[in-house]
Amino acid sequence: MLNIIKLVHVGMLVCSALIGTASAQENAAYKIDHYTMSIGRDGVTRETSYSENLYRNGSQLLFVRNVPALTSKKNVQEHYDERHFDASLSPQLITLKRNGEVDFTFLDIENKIRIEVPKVEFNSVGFSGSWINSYSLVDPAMFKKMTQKGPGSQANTVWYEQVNEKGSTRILWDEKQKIALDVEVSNKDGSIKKSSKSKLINFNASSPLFASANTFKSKVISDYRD
Amino acid sequence: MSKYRSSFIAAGLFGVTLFASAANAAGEAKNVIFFLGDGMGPTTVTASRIYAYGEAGSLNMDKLKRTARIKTFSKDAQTTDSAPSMAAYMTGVKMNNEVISMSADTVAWSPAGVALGSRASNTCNTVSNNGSPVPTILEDAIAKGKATGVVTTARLTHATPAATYSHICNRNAENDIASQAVPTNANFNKALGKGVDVLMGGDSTYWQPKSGTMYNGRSDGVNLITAMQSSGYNYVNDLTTFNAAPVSSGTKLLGLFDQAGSQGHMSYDADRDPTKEPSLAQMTKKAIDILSKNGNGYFLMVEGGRIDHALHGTNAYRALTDTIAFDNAIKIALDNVDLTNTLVVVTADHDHTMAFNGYPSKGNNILGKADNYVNVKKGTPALSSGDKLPYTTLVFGNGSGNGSFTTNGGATRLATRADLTNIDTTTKDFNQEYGVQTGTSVGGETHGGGDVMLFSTGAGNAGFKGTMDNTKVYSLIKSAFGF
Repeated sequence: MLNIIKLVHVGMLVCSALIGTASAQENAAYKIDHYTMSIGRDGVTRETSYSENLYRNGSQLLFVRNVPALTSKKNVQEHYDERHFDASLSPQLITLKRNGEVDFTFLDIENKIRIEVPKVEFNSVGFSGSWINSYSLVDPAMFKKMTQKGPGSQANTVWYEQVNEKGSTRILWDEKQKIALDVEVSNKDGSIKKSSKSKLINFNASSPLFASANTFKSKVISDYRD
Repeated sequence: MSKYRSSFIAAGLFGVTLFASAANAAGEAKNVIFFLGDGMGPTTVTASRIYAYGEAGSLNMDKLKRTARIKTFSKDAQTTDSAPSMAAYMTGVKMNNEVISMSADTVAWSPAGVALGSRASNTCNTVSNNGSPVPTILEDAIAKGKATGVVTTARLTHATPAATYSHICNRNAENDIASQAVPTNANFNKALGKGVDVLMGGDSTYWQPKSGTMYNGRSDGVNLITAMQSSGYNYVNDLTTFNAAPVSSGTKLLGLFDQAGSQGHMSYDADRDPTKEPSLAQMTKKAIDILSKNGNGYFLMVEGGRIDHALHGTNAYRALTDTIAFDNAIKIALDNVDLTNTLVVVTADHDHTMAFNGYPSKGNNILGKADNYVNVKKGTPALSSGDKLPYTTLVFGNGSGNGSFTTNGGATRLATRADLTNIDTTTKDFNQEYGVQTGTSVGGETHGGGDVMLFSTGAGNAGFKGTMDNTKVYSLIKSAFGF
């Protein structure tokens, strides 16, 4: 019994350390705006932007793509059967387990299916496998190699910066919420730029999937690979 | 003896010899081993060869005597899935995508576009006159008193192995597929006689109710494993029980390996724990050891099932290493059969979209970034992509999932390609870049519709040449058997 208690205790410590949420809000939601720009050697400037919402619920994260109304109508016209799902649009549920391992699951809302992705397939769906990168949008460990550039305009925030021969990275870190509010990456000549800007939104407004996902039937990603 | 008489005798002997040769040509194979590399298109074969043996080296399959090209289209699609393609090899019938060894008029989808099968069950009969089973070469072999075996690294109910021993309108209905292999089950496929002698592959979740750490299980509460055991099957589920299983005459063997858990199949060879899970080569040897005890010969199907899955994930490393594991199984077979009475056929069911790009120098790591042979000669191995960003030699025509390299998962094509300069692309978890984003496809990267290769050697291989339809392979095997 003592060993079991120890194991549970260790598991909880692992969870706690990985979540790193001693002062972060257990339940929180953020809207994240992603932007990339590149100026090609052909003289063409290419830009992309999209946004998604991140919902934190203790040891679970939910990423939900925001789709403009016009596109959303078109999507509704496409019905996916149980052997197809839209990897771009399907919400992603990331769970930190007691042993420190991470589960990654797509949610097929229309068919009410949880699509489990085993660890060896993480890369094939674009998931790094890092809980902290998903939770905080960056790994705070990287700040050790960066220069602190002073406080941000909001309380509990601080800018970090790294400039080298390849380009620059600037991150606005919210110490209380444990999230990168602003990530700006540029190469040296400015021909490539990427940014991700996050802001706190109302958690209760649109986060019902945490509960309903548990009622979905379960499939594995291999069920979709023929 | 007059010279006329001796000439007559000689002519008679010659005539007998000629007749005997003609008969043998149509039935000289006592045994047939059919190897199927799932998704193993020509680029995968070439890349695997370079990976393991260098540009000038040879895979074991390369060394087989005869080579042919196979057209893989299905009845309703330019690009096939594994079900009708393998079924074409096994039955000689061209059928619709997702149909398993049924007549050509069988449909896998209702007119309203609803799949006629799910994991739990099939609804094939909701469409009237929805086809009928057609005999497979495995069933033909059983009817002739031969032993039979099915070995795969995919799950045993997946489309390729299923096409040998089951008949159903939609491959999704894997619980039903499993029950067709069980002699005591009401769904048993009676054309299997007393059952397939050797069945080995991944994932027991279609064979028993969920319990313990199983990620899934049968919803009908039926335990097909105990049913198989009551029918005389030895059941093995790890390397220890596998090694302990008998190989004596008449042995029946069911192997279901769950070491890969929710991957739903056996492990990729790159991830396999060799102390816990048998390799495809080990399973092939075991099957041959058992089946060869039958005096009437045998038919064995061996599938490298996970080549396909790695390619769907745009993961060249695991695709190549699983192809090598498949090729090693071919070597084991060649070392353990008599080619004067055994036909060995190696092919694939379809291609994928993996392509071989650029002008990399000879000796460049096939999983690495493409250098440029001219620049290498100059001593300045600069990469030559238009955007000055490196690219790998192997890339894919389409895919989904890793285009963004964002912190979380999700298929998002950004304005810039990822900079691979400081990324080791030769590791097993690297996923190659791709051209077209397929966010809504099955499993990301798709199959390809190009021809695949077929290699053959041994008894009755003479007909396996030229460019032929996949359905012709069935008649050639049948002819080699003399059926």
